[in-house]
Amino acid sequence: MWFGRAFLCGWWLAAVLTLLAAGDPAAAAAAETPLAPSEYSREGADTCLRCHDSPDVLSFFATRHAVRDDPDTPFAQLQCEGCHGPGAHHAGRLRPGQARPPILNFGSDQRFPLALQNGVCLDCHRADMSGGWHGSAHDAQTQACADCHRSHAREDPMLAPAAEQAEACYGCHLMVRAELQRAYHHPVREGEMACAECHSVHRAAAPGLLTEPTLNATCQRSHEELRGPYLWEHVPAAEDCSLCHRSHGSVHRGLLTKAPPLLCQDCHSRAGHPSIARTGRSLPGERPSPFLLGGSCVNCHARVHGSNHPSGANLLR
Amino acid sequence: MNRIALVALVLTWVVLYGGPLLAAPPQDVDTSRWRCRFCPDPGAGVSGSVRAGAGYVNENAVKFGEHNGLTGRGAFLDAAAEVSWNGTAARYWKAVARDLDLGTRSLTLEGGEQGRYEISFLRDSLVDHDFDNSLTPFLGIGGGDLTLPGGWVRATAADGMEQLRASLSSVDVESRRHRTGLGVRLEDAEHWSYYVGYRHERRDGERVAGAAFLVDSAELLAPADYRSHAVDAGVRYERDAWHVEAAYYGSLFRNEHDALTWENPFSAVAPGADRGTLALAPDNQFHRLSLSGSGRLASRFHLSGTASIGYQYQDDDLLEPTANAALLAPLPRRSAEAEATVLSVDARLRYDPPVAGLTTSLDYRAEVRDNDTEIDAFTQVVTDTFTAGVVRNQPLSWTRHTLSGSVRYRFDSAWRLAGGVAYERYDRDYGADPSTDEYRIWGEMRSRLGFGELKLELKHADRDASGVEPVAAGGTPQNPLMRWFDVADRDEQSVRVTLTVFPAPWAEITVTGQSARSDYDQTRIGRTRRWKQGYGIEGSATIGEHVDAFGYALRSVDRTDQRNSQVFGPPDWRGEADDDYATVGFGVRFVDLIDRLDLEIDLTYSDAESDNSVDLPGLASPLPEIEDERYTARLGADYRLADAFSLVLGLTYETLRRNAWQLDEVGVDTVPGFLTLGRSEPEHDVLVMTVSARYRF
Repeated sequence: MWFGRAFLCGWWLAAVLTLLAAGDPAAAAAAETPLAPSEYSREGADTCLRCHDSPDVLSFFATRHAVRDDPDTPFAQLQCEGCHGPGAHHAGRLRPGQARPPILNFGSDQRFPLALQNGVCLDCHRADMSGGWHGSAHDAQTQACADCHRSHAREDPMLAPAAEQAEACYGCHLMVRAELQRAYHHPVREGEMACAECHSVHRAAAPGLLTEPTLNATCQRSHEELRGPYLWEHVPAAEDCSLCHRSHGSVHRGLLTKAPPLLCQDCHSRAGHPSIARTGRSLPGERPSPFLLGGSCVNCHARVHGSNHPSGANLLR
Repeated sequence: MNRIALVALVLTWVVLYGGPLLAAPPQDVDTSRWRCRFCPDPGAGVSGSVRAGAGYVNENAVKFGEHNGLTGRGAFLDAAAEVSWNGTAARYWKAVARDLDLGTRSLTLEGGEQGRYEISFLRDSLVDHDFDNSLTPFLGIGGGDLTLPGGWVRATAADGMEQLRASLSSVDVESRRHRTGLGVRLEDAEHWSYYVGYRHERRDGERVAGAAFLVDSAELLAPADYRSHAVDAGVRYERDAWHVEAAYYGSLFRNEHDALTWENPFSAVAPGADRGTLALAPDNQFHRLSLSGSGRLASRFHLSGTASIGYQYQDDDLLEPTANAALLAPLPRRSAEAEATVLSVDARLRYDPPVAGLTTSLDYRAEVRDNDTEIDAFTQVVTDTFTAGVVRNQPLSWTRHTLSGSVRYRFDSAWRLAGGVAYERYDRDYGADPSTDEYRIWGEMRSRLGFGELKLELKHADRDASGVEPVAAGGTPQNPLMRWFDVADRDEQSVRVTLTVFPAPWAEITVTGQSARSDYDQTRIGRTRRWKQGYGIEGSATIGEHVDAFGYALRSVDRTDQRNSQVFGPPDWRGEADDDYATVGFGVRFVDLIDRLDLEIDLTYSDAESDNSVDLPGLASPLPEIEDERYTARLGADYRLADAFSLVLGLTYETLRRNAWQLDEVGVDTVPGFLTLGRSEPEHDVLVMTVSARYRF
C-alpha cells in the first residue's frame, strides 16, 4: 500500500529532522531560559509601572485578576509579582554591558519552561483542571495557558462572546474555521454558539474534549428530542452521531457526511428492498424518483433517529 | 489487608498529608512600601455602553438569515447595551443585551461578590430558518392533525391531483429556540464551592417530515413544540494538590405533540389507508451523577478521572399500531417502557520519571450502555396499509473499553517527541453481537527551528471485527455480504504536518497539510474506503500599532467509495462521493486609522462541490455536481465623534449560489408518487447596512 509506505516515510522524515536539528545552532539557542533566584521588588507594582505603562499592560487593572478587594486575586497578594515572580533583579540597576535579567513571562513563544509558566496559573486554578486535562493536548506539558488566555486584556477572548472565543480557537484549529464556513453548520460563525458549548478544554475526559462523557450525550444536551431511548432504535443514531453527521459543517443539508441515498447505502442492502443505484436517470426530465430526490430515503423512513410507533420497526412511522 | 482497607488508607493519607506536603511554603515578603501609586483605579460605579440605530436588509434571503434572523427585506432596529457596576468589597454586576429587535435577542446578567458568590441569568433566543418558499395543500400546519381541503379528490400521482394547485399555501419552515437560565455559584473561604444552574428551553416551529403509504409519499410539516428543563448542580472540595467534585445533571424533555396524523393525498392502495400517523419525539428524561477528581498521589504521580452513571427513561403511551380502521393489530403493551443505563469512566495516571522533560501517562476509558427496554413482539402494519409479520424490538446495548499509554519527551523548549499506543475492545449486544478489537499507534514531533516551528503527527489504527453480519432490521435480512463500516475490519492511517514560520517579528505564516485514509479491505458490500485530505495556508501580521491583518486559504477533500448490489447478491455497482471544499478569507483591522476612526474589513469566499457518482455497468448517467458558492464582504467602522460618542457603520454584502439535485426543478407534483413541498435551493445577493450611535459612560 502506497499510503503505508508514505506513513513509514513520515517516520523516517521525523527521525532525519530530529538528527538535523540536534546539530542546529538555532535549536540550541532555543534552550529554555532559566530564572535566577531573585528577591521581591521594594515597591511592588509601582516599580513595574515605571517602565511597563502601555495600554496593553494597564488594561489589566480592569480585569478580575486585579480586584484588590478579593484576597484570592494575584494582585491582592503580591501585585504584579504575584504572577511574574520576584522582580528585584529584573528591575535593578545594571552594570555597563549587563543584560537585564529576565522576569517570568507567559506564552509558548517565551523561553521559560511551560511547567513553570502554567504552574503560576494552576496555583489558583488547579481545581478548574480536572477530567482528562492532565496529559491532554492542551495540558501544561504542551500548551501555555497564555496561548489562549489573555490575563491582561480587559476581556479574555476565551471568556468573551462566542464569535471572539472561536477566533481564538481558530488560531490552532485552522481546518475547523473552514468547516464552519460551510453551507450547513452550527451557528458558531454567526456568534450564536461558542466552541465551549461542546468542547471543555479544561475539564473534559472524553475524546474530542467534549463537555459530556460521549459524543451522543454532548449532542443530546441540545437535541433532547433525539435522546430516546426509542422503542425502535437506529444503530448509528443511538451509538455515534458522527457516523452520519459532520458536526462542524457540511455542504449537505442536516450536516450529513454525504448525500443520501449513498449515505444510507453504506449500510443498507436488504432483501425485498434492494439497494438500487440511483443515477441521473432519476432526476426531473427523465424518471424522477422519490428514492433520490427531496430527502431521498427519509421521504419514507422519516423517523431515522428512532421511532416510538408500534409499527415503526422500519422507521416508517 | 483487603483492597478496601488499602484504598481507604491511601485516601486518608492523601487527605491528611497530601495537601500540606505539596503546598508551596509561604514566603515572607515585606510589602509595607507597596503603595500602588501608579496603579490605575477603575473605581466604583457604573460604566458601559449603549448602541442604538437602524439597519436595512435589501432582499428576502432565508439562508442569509438562517441563524442571524435577518431573513426579510426591510428595516430593523440595531440595539445593544452593556452595563457594568463595580462596587466596594469586590461586588459587581454586569448586564449585556444584544440584537434586541431580532429573533436572536439575548440578555445576560451576572454579578455577585468575587471570590464569594456569583449569580447569573440568561435569556437567549436562537432561530433556525430553513425555507420560506414551501407550498403545501395541508391545513392545520403547526398542529398534530393535517387535513386536506374539502372536496379533495385523491389521485394515483401528484400531477393528477386536481385541487392541488388551487389548494397550495405558502409556509415558512423555521424554528425558534428560547432559553432562560439561572445559575448560582458559592465559594467558601477555604475548600468548598457549590453551584446550581437551571435552564428552561422552549422550541417552536416546523420540521419537514416524510410520510409514506407504501411507495407514495408526501412531505409534511411536523410541529416542533418542545419544552425542556435541565439542572446542573455540583459540589467541589479542593486542597492544594487535589480536588474532587460530585455533580448532577438532570434533563426533562416534553413534546406537546406525540403524533402527527395526516390524510393520504394519494388514492388509497388498500381499504382504509386514507389516514396515517407518525410518532413524533417522545417525552423523555435523563439523570446523571458524576464524580471527578484530580490530584497528585506523590511527587511524580498524578491521577485524574471522571466516573458517571446516567439513566435514560422514556415511557410515552404507545400509539395505536395503525390509523387504518380496517386493520387489526394487537398491542403487547400500552407504553414504551424504554430505559437505559449509561456508564462511563475515564481515568488517567500520569507519571513523570526522574528524567527531565519525560512524561508518561496511562489511560483507561470505559463506556457502557445497558438498554433495559422491555422486549415484545409487535405486529407491523406497514404504512397503515397492510399487516406484515411480527417483529421484536431490539434494544441496543454495548460495552467499550479502551486502554492507552503515551510517552512525551521534551528535549528542551525547541524539541518535543511524543508517541503512544492504544487498544480498544468494543462489544455490541445486538444483531450478530458484532465486536471489534482495534490497535492504534501514534507519534508526534514538534520542533522549534530557527525560522519557526514544525509539527508532524502520524497515526495508524488496525481494527479487526467479528460477528459483523448486520442486524436484520424490520424483519427482513440484510445482504450477508454487507459490512457496516463502523464495525467492519479497517486499516486507518493519517499524517499531518504543520509548519509555522515567522518571517518577521510582526508576522506569522502557517502551512498545514493532512491526509487520512481508511481502508475496509474485507468489505464486499458497504463502504470500502474513505480518504480525507486537507491543506492550506494562514498568515497574520501586526503592522505597527494600528493595523492587524490575517488571511487564510484552505482546501479539504472528503471522499468515500462503496459497493452495493441491486439484486441482493454480490456487488454489481460502485458509488463514490467526493466532497471538495475551498475556503479563502482575509481580514484587516485598523485602529485609529485617521485619528478617530477604527475600521474592519472581512472577506470570505467559500466554495463546495459534491460529486456523487455511481458506476453501474451499462448505465452511464451521472448526477450533476452539488455546488455551493458564497462570497461575504463585511465592513465595520467606528468613528469617535467625541470621547463618549461614536458613530458605528456596518455593511455586509453576501452572494450565494447553490445547485443541488435534491431540490432543483422538483416542484410539488414533479415526481408522480411524491407530493413535495416544492422547496428550492436558496440563492441571494444581500446587502445589509446599519448606522448606529454608541454612547460610552
